[in-house]
Amino acid sequence: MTAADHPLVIGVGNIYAGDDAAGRHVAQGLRDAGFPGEVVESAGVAADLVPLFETRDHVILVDACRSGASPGTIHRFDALDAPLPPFLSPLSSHGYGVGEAVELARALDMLPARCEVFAIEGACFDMGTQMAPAVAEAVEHCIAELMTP
Amino acid sequence: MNDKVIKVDMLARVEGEGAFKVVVRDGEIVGTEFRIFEPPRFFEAFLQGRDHMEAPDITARICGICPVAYQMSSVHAMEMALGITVDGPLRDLRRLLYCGEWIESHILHAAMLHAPDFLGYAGAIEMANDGHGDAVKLALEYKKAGNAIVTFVGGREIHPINVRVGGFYKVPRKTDFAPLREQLLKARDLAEKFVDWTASFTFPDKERDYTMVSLSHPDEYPMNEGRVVSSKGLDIDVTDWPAHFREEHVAHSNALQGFMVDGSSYLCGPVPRFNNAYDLLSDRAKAAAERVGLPRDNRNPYRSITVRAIEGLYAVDEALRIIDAYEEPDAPFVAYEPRAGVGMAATEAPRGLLFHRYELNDDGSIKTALIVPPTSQNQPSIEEDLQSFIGDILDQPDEDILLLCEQTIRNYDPCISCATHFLELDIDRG
Repeated sequence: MTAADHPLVIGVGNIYAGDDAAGRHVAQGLRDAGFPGEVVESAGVAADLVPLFETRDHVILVDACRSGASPGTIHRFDALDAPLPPFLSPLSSHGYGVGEAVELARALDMLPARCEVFAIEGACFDMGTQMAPAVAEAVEHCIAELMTP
Repeated sequence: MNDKVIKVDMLARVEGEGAFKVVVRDGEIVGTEFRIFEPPRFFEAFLQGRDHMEAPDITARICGICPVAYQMSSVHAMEMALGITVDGPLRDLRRLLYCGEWIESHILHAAMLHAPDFLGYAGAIEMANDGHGDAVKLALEYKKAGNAIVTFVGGREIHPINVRVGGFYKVPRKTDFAPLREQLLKARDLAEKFVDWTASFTFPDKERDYTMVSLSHPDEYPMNEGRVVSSKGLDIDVTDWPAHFREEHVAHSNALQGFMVDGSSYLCGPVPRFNNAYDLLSDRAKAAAERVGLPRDNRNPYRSITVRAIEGLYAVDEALRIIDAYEEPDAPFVAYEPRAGVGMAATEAPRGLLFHRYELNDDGSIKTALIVPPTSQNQPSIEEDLQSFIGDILDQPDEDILLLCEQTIRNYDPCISCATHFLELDIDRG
């Protein structure tokens, strides 16, 4: 088994913006735990995410979101099934985030054969704040799940 | 219908949170407000008391799109305060890093955010779904070359970490450049095609007599260093900036607005650079401008999309020139002792001139910091564009007016996150 036999995990977010750091912490935690596949951290600009999908069979995107659920809730989506919900198109840089990246990749016929999205519900996305304990717990839960073969 | 308010409460396809309002009375526009409501971020106060070495990394956080610009203006200003000069290969590497950011930022804005305005789509996804997928793919591939430069020189793609006062933490070996060079050679062909694509759009036939402000250097297209000049005869050392420019707080915006000291507006960004320094573009960039009929004295702001494409091509050329001439420096940075001093610098962020001024204490800690981002400077010009450009379409449906307003604002590639340090449109017709 090589890294290419495992999914590419992309942790999206801003490490300095409270709960928005969740996806980045999942990526860092996977690296620390020796995840056998490739792990990438991204600010979540769609134009940078789509090229990462090239030549990949399986991509897992992990991002923070705000849907109104309780903080720490983990939402799971199969991007191949249906368009992602609007709360995954947040006001990220230039208004183009994970939701737009998946839809742009779909329009360009660049979606991987398997493309899953883990969205961790956050509450506070203010610059300079820490992740809430419930979000940090969800991060650990995602890491444990992704590490389980 | 002679009185109305037209507004957009949250403008899409811009960086940050802003809005716009047009007030019409008796069929005349009586007010235009470009409002930035993203909360102020107080970076200048946050820098006080921090070590001068932290400035490049802290200020880089102001913007996810142009961190290199913040790093460059801050290190140049610090170096003036510390009395050191960074030249030779270290200076060239900084210019190379900046070329990477110009490519990343210009292509992201031109292809994904601004092009849909010209082609009549809500966004890049709709554009890609309706026959323009190849152009979007080309842009994504081309932009990767910019990311590759930033990763190579800056240490990583997001918020580069390799820049320090005095130079870099680590410098590449000459032999390390080969894969990047190959990628840039391929990107050069994409850059040429991208210029032609943007030039094929239909542009609103509108112009204004802007005061175009940019850096000016005798040998280099404006980027890292130079005097501050304008199309109306200004020619000053950057240290004279405070005597010629000022910032003002206006009630409707969380970002300070930049003016000339006489209170007039000015324009900074790709169009002023192109107009003020055309002769210093690479031969290939000049040939492309000529091929697509872009005038040397362009006053049509909608053609800024093609100017960005020309600057992208220039940045690819310049990056290749720097790589081919590169000789490994003796040390990755110039050593120095901290001291008290005042330093200021302006560099050319992709969207325009970025001025920094710092005052340092004896131990090298920051006493005061002043940051004037390009979008702050361009706000008054944005409001004047709207005042000038939509007056003749006020009898058209609000939806058409909104579209032209948004397209006009996107000419500036406004970075609201930088300036609050963008957009809602509100047309008040009474």
